[in-house]
Amino acid sequence: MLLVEPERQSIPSNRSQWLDRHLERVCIISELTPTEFRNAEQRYGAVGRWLAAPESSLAIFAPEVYPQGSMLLGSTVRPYGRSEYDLDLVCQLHWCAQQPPLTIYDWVHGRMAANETYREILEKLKRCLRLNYAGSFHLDVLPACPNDQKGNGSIIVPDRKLECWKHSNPKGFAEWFFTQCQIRDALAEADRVMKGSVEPLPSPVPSEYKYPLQRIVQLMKRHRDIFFHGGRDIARSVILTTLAGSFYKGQRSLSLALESVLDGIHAALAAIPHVPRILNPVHPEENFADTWDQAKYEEFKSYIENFRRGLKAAMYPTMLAERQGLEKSTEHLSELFGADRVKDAIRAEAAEINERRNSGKLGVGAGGVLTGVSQAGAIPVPRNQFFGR
Amino acid sequence: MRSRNPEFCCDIDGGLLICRGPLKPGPMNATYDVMIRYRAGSWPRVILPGDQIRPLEPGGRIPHTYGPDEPCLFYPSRASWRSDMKLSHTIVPWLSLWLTFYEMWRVTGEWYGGGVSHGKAEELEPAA
Repeated sequence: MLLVEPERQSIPSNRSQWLDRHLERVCIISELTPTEFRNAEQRYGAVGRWLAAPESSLAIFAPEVYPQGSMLLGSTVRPYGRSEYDLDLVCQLHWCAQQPPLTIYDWVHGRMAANETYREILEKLKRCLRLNYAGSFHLDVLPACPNDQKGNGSIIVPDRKLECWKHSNPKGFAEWFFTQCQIRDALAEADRVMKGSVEPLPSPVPSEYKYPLQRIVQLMKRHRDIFFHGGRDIARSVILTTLAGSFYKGQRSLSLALESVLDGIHAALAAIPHVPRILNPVHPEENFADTWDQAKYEEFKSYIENFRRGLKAAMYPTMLAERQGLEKSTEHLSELFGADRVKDAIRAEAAEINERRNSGKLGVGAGGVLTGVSQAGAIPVPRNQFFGR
Repeated sequence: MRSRNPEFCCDIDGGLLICRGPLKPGPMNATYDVMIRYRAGSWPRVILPGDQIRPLEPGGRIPHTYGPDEPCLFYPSRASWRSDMKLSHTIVPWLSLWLTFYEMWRVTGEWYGGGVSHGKAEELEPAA
């Protein structure tokens, strides 16, 4: 899938460009490292093969195993504090919708528990089976059956607590999300057709090549983690993803796109005084905000408002703030995303400047503004070494 | 100097050239009031008058400065700077870069610009 952003090479010449780059760096720093990704891939692959093996007790149901959630959507963020990454996998059986929901759950549990290694780290949750690996992951396996009446990727999932089926459609949701990502982006192609019994994880798309919408979701999750100190039950990831996807208008500039999404959400919620429903765009019977009460709704609105205010302060500084330079702007950004992320992003920016400097690609334009040496009117910055104590 | 930096004013008084003007290295930086002083036979110096650059804590030092308002932009030797060089093509770009790293240092406490320090009193080569 071909993605965006060929203009990265130039040095930002205005505030908006600088913010776009900085926000992108914050996202990149927040993602799984390549090692962590490989690790996740291995674990996922092993579980998938175990479930779908020919000698598996599930084999007669032709299990289809595929990822869902942030790994699939490309919107992972490093969890807050010491919490772990969530890796989500659907284990979809066939010809099983006539069975009672708990039976399906137990069949999948049975197969997982038949593996000694898995048995030791296996935990039964409300809708999934959790594998608690040592280290920074857990992997949630969701037993499911196809929803034959609805089709197109709709599934039904056993709920152990309520002893009933819950409806979902992770494939459909992903398709919807990637469609939203490609709004007005003529370069992109959505060829994510899922087939086969064990789906590979989306290959680690080089970090630079993500859609603005994926970045927006990452930033919303990161600010959510800061604002709620790691609490994820109010501003659930699926809610943030749905809202971002619904309000994204196709802007290429990350800062402008993020601002526009937050403005859109703010305006929509301002018109709804009581708890709204946030419906699954591919499955309107599912309300993602079904656990919200008025208090939680107000907290969510505060989160959005806090984000908007901080972002706009960074984008549109007062004259006084502007005179205080980078320090002042990064104050707002640190409040939004955490000081560590912002500092790491600055460090990465410095490394890029030095790379240009060392390869003779750094220049100054009229008035002494740092720019690329190939820009019209620029002169190179000659090699130098700063001196002094 | 003025053709590349039109907002600078330069004046010569008794063999001392003083150029003064505003410098904003990038869109996120402050605008600095810069003074470049150059006397033939000596090294150019840059002063940022007033309290424009500040240490991280009171009494602290700013990296790569000769004093509280004077950045060190180059190692004083003929290899770095000669009198046939243009201020606009050396001092101004180096200062822009220095200020960029200075502002980053203010945020993270780390200096990314590299450089050398003089720990002992060294004999500086005379300017040529």
